[in-house]
This record gives sequence, C-alpha cells and structure tokens, in this order.
Amino acid sequence: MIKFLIKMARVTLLSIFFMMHSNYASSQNIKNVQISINQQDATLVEIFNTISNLTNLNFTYSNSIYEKDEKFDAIYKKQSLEYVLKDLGKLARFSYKVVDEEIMISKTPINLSQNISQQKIDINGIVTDEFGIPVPYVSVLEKGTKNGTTTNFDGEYSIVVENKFSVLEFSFLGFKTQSVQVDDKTNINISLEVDDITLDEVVLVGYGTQEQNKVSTSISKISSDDLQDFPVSNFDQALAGKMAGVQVTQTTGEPGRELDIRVRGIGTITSGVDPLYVVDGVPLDNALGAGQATEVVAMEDIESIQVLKDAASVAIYGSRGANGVVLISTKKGDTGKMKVNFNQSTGFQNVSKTIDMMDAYEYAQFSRDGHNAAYLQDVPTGSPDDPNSVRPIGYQQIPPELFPYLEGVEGLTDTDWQDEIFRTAIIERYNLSLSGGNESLRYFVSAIHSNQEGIIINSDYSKTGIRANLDVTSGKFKIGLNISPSYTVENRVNANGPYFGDGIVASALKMSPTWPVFNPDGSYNFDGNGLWRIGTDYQHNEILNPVAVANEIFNEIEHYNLLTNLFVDYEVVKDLHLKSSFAINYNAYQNEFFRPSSLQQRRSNFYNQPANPEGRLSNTTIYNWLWENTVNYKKRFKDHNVEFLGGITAQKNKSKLNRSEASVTPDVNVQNAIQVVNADVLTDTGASVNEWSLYSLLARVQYDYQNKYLFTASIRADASSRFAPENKWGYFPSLSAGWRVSQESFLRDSEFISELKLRASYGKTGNFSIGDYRFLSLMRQDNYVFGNPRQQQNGFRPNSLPNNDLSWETTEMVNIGLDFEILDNQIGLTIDAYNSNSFDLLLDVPVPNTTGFNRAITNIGKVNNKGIEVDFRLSPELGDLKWNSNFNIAFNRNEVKELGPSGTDIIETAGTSSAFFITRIGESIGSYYLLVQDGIFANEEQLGQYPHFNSTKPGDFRFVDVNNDGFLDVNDDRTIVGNYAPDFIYGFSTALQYKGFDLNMAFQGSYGGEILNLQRRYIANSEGNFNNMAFMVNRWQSESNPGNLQINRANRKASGNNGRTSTWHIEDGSYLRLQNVSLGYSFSKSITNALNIDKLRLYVVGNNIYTWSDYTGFNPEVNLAGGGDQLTPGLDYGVYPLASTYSVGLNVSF
Amino acid sequence: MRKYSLLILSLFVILSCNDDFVELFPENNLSSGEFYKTQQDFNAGVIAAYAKLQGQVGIYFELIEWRSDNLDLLAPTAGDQDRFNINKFQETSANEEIRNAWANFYNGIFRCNQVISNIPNADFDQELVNQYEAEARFVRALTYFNVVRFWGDAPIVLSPITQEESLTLGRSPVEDVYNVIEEDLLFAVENLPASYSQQNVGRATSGAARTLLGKVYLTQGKYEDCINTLNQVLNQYQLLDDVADVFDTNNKENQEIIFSIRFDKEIQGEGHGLWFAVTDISISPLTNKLLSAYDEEDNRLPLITYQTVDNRLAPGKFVDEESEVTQNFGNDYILLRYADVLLMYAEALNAQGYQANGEAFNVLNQVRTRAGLPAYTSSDLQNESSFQQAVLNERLLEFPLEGHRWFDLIRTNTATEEIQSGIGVSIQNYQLLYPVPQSEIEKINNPEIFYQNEGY
Repeated sequence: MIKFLIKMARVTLLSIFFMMHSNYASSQNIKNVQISINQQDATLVEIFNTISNLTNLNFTYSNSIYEKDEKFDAIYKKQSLEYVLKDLGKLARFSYKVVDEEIMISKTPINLSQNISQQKIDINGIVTDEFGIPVPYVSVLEKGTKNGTTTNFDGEYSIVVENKFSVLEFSFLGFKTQSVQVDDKTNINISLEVDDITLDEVVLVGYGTQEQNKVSTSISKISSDDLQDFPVSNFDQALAGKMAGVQVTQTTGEPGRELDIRVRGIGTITSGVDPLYVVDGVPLDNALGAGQATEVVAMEDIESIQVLKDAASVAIYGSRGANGVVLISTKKGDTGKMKVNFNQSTGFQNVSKTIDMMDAYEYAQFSRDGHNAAYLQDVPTGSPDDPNSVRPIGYQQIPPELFPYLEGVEGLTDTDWQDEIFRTAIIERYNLSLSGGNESLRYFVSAIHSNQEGIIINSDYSKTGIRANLDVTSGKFKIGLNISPSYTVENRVNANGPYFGDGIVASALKMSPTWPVFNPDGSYNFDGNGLWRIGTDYQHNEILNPVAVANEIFNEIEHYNLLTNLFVDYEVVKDLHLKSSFAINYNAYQNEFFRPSSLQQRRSNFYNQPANPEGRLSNTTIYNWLWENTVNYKKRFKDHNVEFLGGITAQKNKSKLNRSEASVTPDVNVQNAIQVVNADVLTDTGASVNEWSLYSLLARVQYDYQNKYLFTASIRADASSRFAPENKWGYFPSLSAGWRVSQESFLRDSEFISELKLRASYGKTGNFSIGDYRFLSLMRQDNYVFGNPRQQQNGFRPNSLPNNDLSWETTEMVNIGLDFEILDNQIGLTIDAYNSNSFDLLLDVPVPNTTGFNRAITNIGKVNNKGIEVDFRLSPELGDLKWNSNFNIAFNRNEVKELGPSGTDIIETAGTSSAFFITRIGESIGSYYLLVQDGIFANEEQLGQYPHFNSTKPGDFRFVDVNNDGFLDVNDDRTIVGNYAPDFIYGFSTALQYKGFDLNMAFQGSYGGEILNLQRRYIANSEGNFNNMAFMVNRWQSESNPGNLQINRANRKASGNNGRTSTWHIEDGSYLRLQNVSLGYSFSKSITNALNIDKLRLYVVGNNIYTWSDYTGFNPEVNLAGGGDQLTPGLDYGVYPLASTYSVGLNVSF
Repeated sequence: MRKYSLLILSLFVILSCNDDFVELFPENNLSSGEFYKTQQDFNAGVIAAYAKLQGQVGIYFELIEWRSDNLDLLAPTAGDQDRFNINKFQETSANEEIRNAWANFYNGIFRCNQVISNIPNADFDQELVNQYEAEARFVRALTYFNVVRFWGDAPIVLSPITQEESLTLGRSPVEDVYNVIEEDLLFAVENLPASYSQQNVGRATSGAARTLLGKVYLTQGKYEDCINTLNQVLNQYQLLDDVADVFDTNNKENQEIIFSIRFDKEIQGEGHGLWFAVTDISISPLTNKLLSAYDEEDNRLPLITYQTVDNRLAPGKFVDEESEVTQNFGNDYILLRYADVLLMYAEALNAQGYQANGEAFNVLNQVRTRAGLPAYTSSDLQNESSFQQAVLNERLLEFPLEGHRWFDLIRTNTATEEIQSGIGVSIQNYQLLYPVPQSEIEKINNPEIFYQNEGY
C-alpha cells in the first residue's frame, strides 16, 4: 500500500514536471522533443501512457505482443524522445515508426546494425604519462580479443580493430589501466595516470620519497590515523608500542615532558642517545631532543611519522644518524574546496597509581620498634618497656607525640600525604584547521590550544601554536613555505627531586602521617621539619611539608619556538628538479624561579624560621639555520627505473645562555624572582655561548629492475666544527638491496601470497652529539696573588689535552628483513634482524701524567647491539566490520666490547655513594653492581651457618657471599644484578570499525629490565625515621615472630649493612600497559547531510588506563638519570607519577 | 629557463665555499692554540704555573712532613688511610696521596712547558720575555727537584707532548733530571730580577733561584758549587729579630722570606683551610721527639705549640684569623727563607772541612742565637760529624711543618735511625724513595722504560 502511494506520488510529481518542460511534438521534431522521466518498475504500457500524456503523441501497439508482467525502469533526464525510444527499444525488443502524430510500436525489432560500419578500422596514437612524456612498451589490447600490440620507443602504436564498438585497453605497470571505445575515432592519444594505489604507499626516506614496495631498508611508519584521539598534550605518547624496535618510554608524568625514544638499543657510552628529529625535512638540533619536536608540531597536523631504524636508511643523515632518525611530515592542502576540521576534547586525569604506605598507627608502632632496637643495641641490658627517661641518647627514645597512637587513641591525625599532593586535573584541547587549494596554490593552516593541569597541585602546561603550510605552483616552479610558531608555558613543581631538595613526591611518601597539613589557624604545619630533632634529637629526618613546597614555589618555564622553512623547486627539464630550501629554527626558553620566605628552609635549625627568599632568572636562546640545495633526477629505461639525488647542505646552530640568581634576607619584601634579583647583589651569574656547524655533501641512487630487484646506494660526507682538524670529514656510505619474490612469474599470480620481499642492507652512520669544542684544549682560569698589597692576578692554563683526531662515533649496522603479505594483504608480517657495532666511542681514558693530565678524551670504546624485530598485521575483510590489528615485539642485546686501552671497568655511582653501576666488557652498558640480599637471618642459629657482616644480628639481611671466600666484603661481594635494558619490548594495537562505530585499543609492554628503586632507601629502610611502605608491617619482630622472612627488623641504627644499596633496592621493571582505548561514533550521512557537514564524530577515550607490573614504585618506565647519562640508567628516586586520563571529544569536518 | 638554471646552480657554488664554515672556536674560553701570543697571555701562563704551587702545599704536608719524624698518626680514621700508610711506611704503589702528587707535579711541569715552548714566538720587550721564561723554568726546576727526591729516576718532559709520545716516554736517570734542574736554575739566576715593583712582589727572584740552586747542589753533594752560589745570597736577606714575625700574617713581605707560595684569604679562591688543625689537643700529631727537642727558652717552640683558633687548634706558625668573607685562612707557605740559606751554607762549609769556630759556626749561630739559644763553640762541636749533627738538629727545630725534614733526613743519610727514634718504625733503604704510582705503570705498560722502584 505504501509502495503504491509512493509510486503514485512519483508519477504525480513527474507529471507536473513534464507539463512544465515538454511541448508539442511531431514526427519532425521527435529528435527535438526533450523529456525527463523517472518511472521505475513500470510496464511498457504504463511508460507509453506517461509519455503520451505529456507529449500529446499517441502510441499504437498491440497489447497481446507484450508480456503484461515485464517491468522496466525508464529513467531519463533531458533526453530526446528519439533517444528514449531507441534505448527503451533495446531493452524491450521493439522498434518504432513515427506516422503523423502516431508512434507505431512493433514487436519485431528493426535491424539496427544497418547503421554500423562493417569495415575494420585503422587506429593509431601516442601514449604518454601525465607529464606528456611518451611511454614505451605500453600494452595495447582490443578488449575481449587476442588482438594487441605495444607502443614503440616514442610511445606510438597502431592497431586494426573490428569496428567502432571495439574497446582498446592500455596497460602498463605502475599506471592505471585505461579503456577507450573506438567510436568514430581513428587517432586515440592516451595520457596514463600513475596508479594511485602505489602513490598511497610512499614512504619518506630522507631528502625524498620512495614507494613502499621498493624499500629495502628498515623503516617503521605510523600515519595520522594512529594519532587521533590522544587526550594528551604532545604526540610522542601516541607512538608508544606502535613500532617494533622503537622504545618509547614515559619516564615522568610531568605535564608537557617529552618521552624518551630509543631506536634499537643504545650504542654510545658517553654521548647523546636521542634520535635525530627531522620535521618536514628540517633536522633539528639533537641537543634539544624530542622536547622541541613535540612542541613545534601539533598532533593533529601530522601526516605521518616514520622512524628510520637501520643504518642504511639513516646513512643519508650521516654523522647524526647513529641513534636512528624520526621523520615527521605535516599535512598539506589538497586541491578542491576548503575543508574545515575541528577537534575538541575535554577530560580529567588522575594519578595512575599511589603507593600503599603505613597509616599513622602502623607508623607509630614501626617507629617505636626502630627506637627500641637501637636502644637495646646500645644497652643490651635494657628492656623495650624502659621509659625514655632511662634511655641515654635521643635516638633510643620514642617521640612522645607517638604515645597516643601507641595507646590506640582513636581519631588522631592520620594524613595521607599522597592524597594531599595529588588531584583530579583537567585537560582540554582545541584544534582547528583549514585546507584546500587550486592548481596553483594549496594551503593547510591550523591553530592549536591545549591546557593540561598536572595531577600534582600547582603544576600545569599549556600550549598555543599555529601552522601555515603553503605550496605555490607556477609553471616549472614550485614554492613552499611552512611556518609554525608555538608558545608553551609550564608551571613546574619539583616532583623528581630528593626529599632534601624540595622534592614533593619523595617528601609526601616519607613524611610522618601523624602531622597535619595545616595548623588550626590555617597556616602550613612544619612539624616534620625538625620538631623531633629540637631538644631531644630523636633522629627523625627533617622533611618539609610537601603541600607547602608545591604551592609556595613558583617555577615557570616559557618556551617560544619558531620553525620556518621556505623552498623553491625548479624543474629544469622533465623529471630533473633543482631545489633550494632554507630553514630557520628559533627557540627561546625563559625560566623564572622564586622561593618565598614563607617556605622555610629544610632542617631543624630553620624550623619555623622565615627563609631567605631566593630568585633565579635564566634564559636560553637557540638559533639554527639550514640551507639545502639538492638535485633530483628520475628516469625509466624500459624495465629499469633509476632515481638520483645529489645535494649540498649547510647548517649552523648557536645557543646562548645567561642566568642570574640572588637571595635576600626575609625582612626584604619581595613577591617574585625579578624583585629578588633586583633587590640585592647577585650571588651567582653566568653566561655561555655554544656553536656548531655542519657542512655536508650527499648522493643517493635508487634503482630497480621491473620493480622486482631493488637497489639503493647512498653516501654522505659531513664536515663539522665538532670534529678535530685532522678528522674534519666523515664519510657515511650505505647499500641496500631487495628482492620482491612475489613479482616473479612463479608467484605473480598467486592468490595466496600478495607480497614477499627479502631485504638486506648495510650502512655506516655517526653520532655527532659529542659536545662542542671537545677536541680543543681550552684555556681555563687559575689565579694567583702577587703584589703588596696583594692583588689577584689572572692566570690561564689549558684544561685538557687537545685531541687533533677527535671525531664522531661510528656505527655500522647490517640488517636483513622480510616482508610477507598474504590473502590480498589481509595478513602481513615483517621481520628484521640486525647486528650493529658502534665504535670509536668517546671515552675519557687514562693517559700518562707526563702529558699534563690524568685522562684524555679519545675515540676508543666499542658497543654491540643485535636484535630481532617482528611486526605482525591482521586486517581481514569482514564486510561492514573493519578490523585492523598489529602486534610487534623486539629483542635487543647490548654488549660492551671495548673500553679504553686497558679495558678497565667503568664504575659509577648515582643517587647515593653505594649505588654502583658497572660498564664492563661483555655486559650491558650501566649494569647494576651490588650486594645480593637474600632474605633475612631469622635467628641466631641461621646466623651461625652463613657468612655475615660483624654487625649482623637476627632480623637483619642475609647477603650472599658471592665470591665464596667465607667472608662478606662490601666491595668483593658485589656482582652484576641486572640492567635497565629490557630483554624485549612489545606492543599490540587493534582497531575495529562497524557502521558508524570505531573502537581502538593499544597495549605496550616491556619484559626483563630491572629498576634501581632508591626510593626504597627511605620508604623500605626499616628504621622508623621515615614512613615506610605498608608491606613493611610483615617485618621480623622476634625469633618467634620473624614475619615473612624477607623483611628486616626495624632498627633506627641499622646494623648488618641493611641500609647499603643491594638487590633489596632492585626490582623487576617488566610491565604491560593498556595504553589507550577509544570508542567513537560517526553520525551517518543522512544526519551530516542535513547539517551540511562532511563528518561528525564523538568519542570517549582513556589513556594510560592500567599497568600490570610487580614494580612497587609509581612507574616501571622510570629512568631518572634519563637520556643524559646512560652509565647510570634506571634510577628511581621518587618521580612525578603518570596520569590516567579520560576524555570526551568531538571531530567535525566540512 | 636558462637564467633560472644559472641562478639555481649558482646556489650550489655559493654553498660549496665552506672553508671557514666548519672552523668554530668557543667564545666562552680561548683555546690553547690561540693563546701564548701577547705579553698578557704569557704573563697569565706564568701566573697559572705559580697557581699550581698553591695546590702543592698539601703534598709538602703529606709526603714530607707526614713521612718524617715530626708527625705521628696514631690510628687511621676515615679518609686518613693513605696518610697513615705513608706515615708508617706501609704505603703501596696504589697510594692516592702519592698518585695525586705525581699528577700534580706533572701538571705543574706541563703549565711551565706551555710557556717555555711557546716563548720563542713571543714578540715583546725582550727583558720581560726572558723574565717569563726564567720564572717558568724556576717553577719547573722546583717541581722536578721534588720529583727526583721523591721518586728518583723520572720522566723528563721539557715541552708539551702528545698522548702517543707519553706512552713511549721512560724514566731518566737521576743525574739527567738534576742536569735539567741545574740548567733551568742557571737560566733563572741569569734572567730573573733581584727584586720586583710593588705590583709584582712575590714572583721568583734571582735570589730565590740561587737559593734553590744552592739546595740542589747541596743535595747532590756539590758543596763547592753550593757555597759559591749561596755566597751571593748572603746578606741579600736577613733574619728577623723575632722568629715569630716571620710567620705573622700581617708581616708577609718580610726580609727573611726568599720565596713562598702565596695566599690571600680575602679573595675568593685564594685562601686555604686551617693547616694542621685539630679539635682536641690530645690528638695533636706532633711527635714527642720533636716537642722534647726544644729547650724551654727556645722561642721557636711556640711556633709549633697548638693555639686556639675559633673552636679549633692550630700550630703557632699557622695561626691566622678566619676571613669573614671567605671563611678561609691566608698564611703563605714559605718554601725558601734566609735561615735555610744560612743553615745550608753552614752544612756545605762543614762538609768541605771542619774549621773550629770558623765561618760555619758563625752562620749556624746566627740562626741559633736568634732563637734565644746560646751560640755553639768548637768545644760544643768538636768535629765535622758533630757539627753536621748540630746543623741537622737546628734544621729540625727551625723548620718543622715547612716541608724540609724528610729531605733533610735523606740528604744527611740519617733517615733510618731518626724515623726509628721518632715514630718507632724501622725502615728499609728502598723506602727512601716512594713507589711510582701503579696507575702510571699500567698506563705505559712497558717495564723496560717505565719501571717500579726497587722494593715496591
């Protein structure tokens, strides 16, 4: 019934339409009568009636000759009546004749073929590519026949076809196949279009691009799709777990802090470990690391991020490539109408983990036990029940403020200090971009603003930036301009510092829960800062109220960043491009620090005293310019494809720092750092200037035969101000080859294997992050006094031995790989294996003192990294359900091969004097080198059975006699007990799309690394002078109550080297993290059309949702020493914990 | 089209002019290659050579005084183990104090060599050029003199050497080292001024060079050379009436001082800590032998008696007031003074032949009577050996803690018995030299040329 009504309505509408558009028709003007008709599912009779009604022409036909039920669709728009009747006649097998005002329909079709030429037709023409260059060897085939030919060297062909209905098909590898009907033409010229499918798979290879299937090196790529929905300030978080062999770790949760990115392990001992970041072709200064790249490029503006991993792909960046290269490209405008894209998300963050600490009552008992043990240790005749009055020394006594807790009085102060410093924090993000263009101008402009509160009170980060990417094409010229100024402002709190250096997290963990945050009058309570040291010294360490520290200190960093790149590309002749580009990168960092008098100094002699206000101002500016001139030429000879690149580049960087610091007495009224610096003589000032320059020549040849056998060779020569005069030039060659087995005839038609490629590469790269002027012997001041009266006289002497050979560190890497795709790319697998030797590593090696010095910087060390990376992809075709998954895993082994002339171990300490790290031949860089703690001695009997320290008593740690000599020695019984570097890292991500819904999920994991959790020196020290972790309640209490046999007794005066750094402080850093989950819904076309927009999507997203780990600290990715010092990695001294973030967001585009 | 090609090709040409582009030098500091050009440069180079001496005061304490019978460390405490081992003749070649001394001396020599080897290029007032070279050679000679007395055979470096060269440089015989020292000092005697203007007081003088040269001759037993050299110093300086005035920090420019390592506590970085300070008189390290060697009326006794300085105690000759600005002390460390000249002169004369109540008695008694003691006559000291014993004893009383005693014992061949009587340790002959630092032996790793001293 409904169907009928709709049909009626259609007919009615059409009728009206026809009345308006048709007019009187006759046989003479049947060609001239134009009609529009839209009548579906109708019988011929119905259609004829409609036409008749609207044209005043009558149809004559016999009902009997048509099957009543046969239905046709008559859909024509402004067609001549003649055309309509012919067309319908073909379908319905009738012919017609116009007699007067009558149209006679007869069943027997008129023989139409009489209008068609029976003669064969000679066709010729020329086939060119999109630029008009003739393409030889193009296959030209008459479709459906075996009649065919190919174009000659000038792209010309000629062929004889059957008739004008013949269709010619032109095909050539790499281009779209085109079909053309001959019709009346005898000359058919074809312009082939490059196959778009190939174009989509282009990867950046440094100073150019390469088709993905021709790549024979090891490159990981993620595209803009992988970067959407991250409710975070900077893009680097989105990289975690996505690329095999690229370790992305978030060592701190400070808002705005960049992540550590490490490619294929660490190949240097003393020099930089950050990869080179290249933004739209501009290599940034390594010294600024990822921080600068993440700030200058907004996540939404990124087209793709690629990581060049093997030395062959990196070698084109020469002396800066040894740590890998991260290529970031931003979006460009497309021709067409303006596209507007708006993204907005708002969410909240919470601390991802808190550490379970003792409450005030547990702490009181724990502290009491510690004081009692110290008392009984000094006075063996005493009893734990002795009152303070008979205990001779303060640390043997129990602070009276603990008595009510010990008596079990309820409702006493019980502060959870972590609760006090953490908060639910807001994060919001706005991004608007406009893009579009025409043949001569394309543009992409965007603006970003984000705001992130930190999960620690009084910390935040906000960023504002704009970007304009413009491309102008004029004749043979192409001009491009990218400009991206950004400004960030960050309010920092000292979350990562030690408790004795205003460290907030460390203080919050250690502070006694018996102290309140505020006094009854609303002022901060500072009893933790020495109440238990004044008068009777109970020896509880002084800790400042962390809430006061967080709120009172002002520490703001502003960062201005301008990256601009202008290029001109001139096509001299077809496919020969000369390109000159000039880039400027300007960075300015300004820091203002103010510590007011209201925040007292730590230590009991400052207890409840106003502090001297301190102020510090510093600023650093970094100016970097880059000029690159390249020539690029592409040529195809038959089956041979060759592309050549040559270039000259020059880059220079200059950084300037100045700093002033002052403090005044508390009576001076100052409100900020500027007032402090202006109020008094400066206590400290400083300035420095550093410059480097790099001049390079580069060349690359890419060649393939039939897209089957692939070769690339490149070389770069770098000269840098950082290299010594005798070693100014470094040469960095590379070679790679690939074999696309799937292109061979025996696999070409395989329905199972869609891609099978074997790859091998070799390359040599350098690490030039060795610091400026290192080869020079610089003059340093050493003064003396002469004269009467005495005057200081400036003396100068060289501070080091010059090294005229000092140079880059070199890495040679061999990589073999396999790409395998089956079932029409539904399942893919990439495997890479590499062996990388880094040598000429800079070490400060001992030299005879007759040179004047103990040590001299020398290129001498050697480190090996070898590993395997596997990347597995699954994207089955499931109809409406789209599903993509990726799993990757990477194993890397790091081994020191050579260390200086004598191979002596490098033993360093970090954090505390007994926390040893060893760099030894045959081991990983910076392994932990400590005593091995193995439970406790539960009783005297056990104590008698195993070597122990003299002062060890039951309840103290049992350390392993590593060298088995029957004695324990703090030096001789150290051994290597782990390393920060994981055995393997892995990631898993999956994306589901069904109708309008999309669901994305990403995991990242790491296995087998250890962390030196020095935080345990305090919060698992079992002394009772700091609050401890809650599990410490299971400590040894007596021989009859030995706890869980793992935790030493409480003792304020620790015996038996319990406090010495050992494996008690080493923890497994393995983890699996659910990094990201997002669920989105895109509204259907009917709704977006109604709203006159292209896309409307809403989503909810969670980031850093859950971490599975046995680690007792906040974050198993912690690495306090950070990128700066790989000799002492994996240190945790209390850090800014990571946030878990949940946001809702909106994408609109139109 | 061609014009564009030319334009763009010219960019490549411009960019290929890179000569100076990759030669960048620091603005924060000069590099040694650009230094040692002007008069100011050389002056600064010489000053840095002197500045190194400030850090050597500790070496005089650790390797000379703690090695001698002046001081006795009863038990090692934290951080004192190396000192204890030196004091008790238990040190090994890994001893840090010895390693530090070696490193310090050769860095000092390096600083001198920088000046000396660059000075042929100097283009300013020739007299000043010669003075700077002479000063550097004086400091170098002083340093080698310590080196050869501590270790015996020693590598000789007279110009800056490279890492490779240092690996093939062996120890030269003692005589060769003394030849270098004598040559340097003869040059210094010729080219150093006898005195300086007020702004330059404190630089090495020809008198200082002669005094040091006299000591070098004396140490080698070249008594005639010693006498001839010191002869020219006699009456150029004078003994102060009160020996305590010599050490008065308000009287640093006194007539007795020939050369001292200079400090100034009011200038940041130019002061030092309180020397030989203790917090408790019961832990005074001075040996009973030393303390009991003094007659009661000897006015040098108060110079080693511990006196209160704020909340600490220091020997009288190193007492000073702490600077309020730097919290430092400012005594100079006197290396050469006129009393030393007199006693060396007496020792050399006596060694040339005992002469009853001769000139040797005369000069010895100048020192002795100044201290408030009665003069010796030939009835007190009847022969050469008793006179020599008396000179040695006078040196014990005159110079404790001034960096002489251990060398005096070696020179007079009395170390074995004096150490035995002083701190009750019996020593072997080989222990008159220190072990060469093990680290140096390992770095060079060629025992043929760079060997350990016998016995270690």
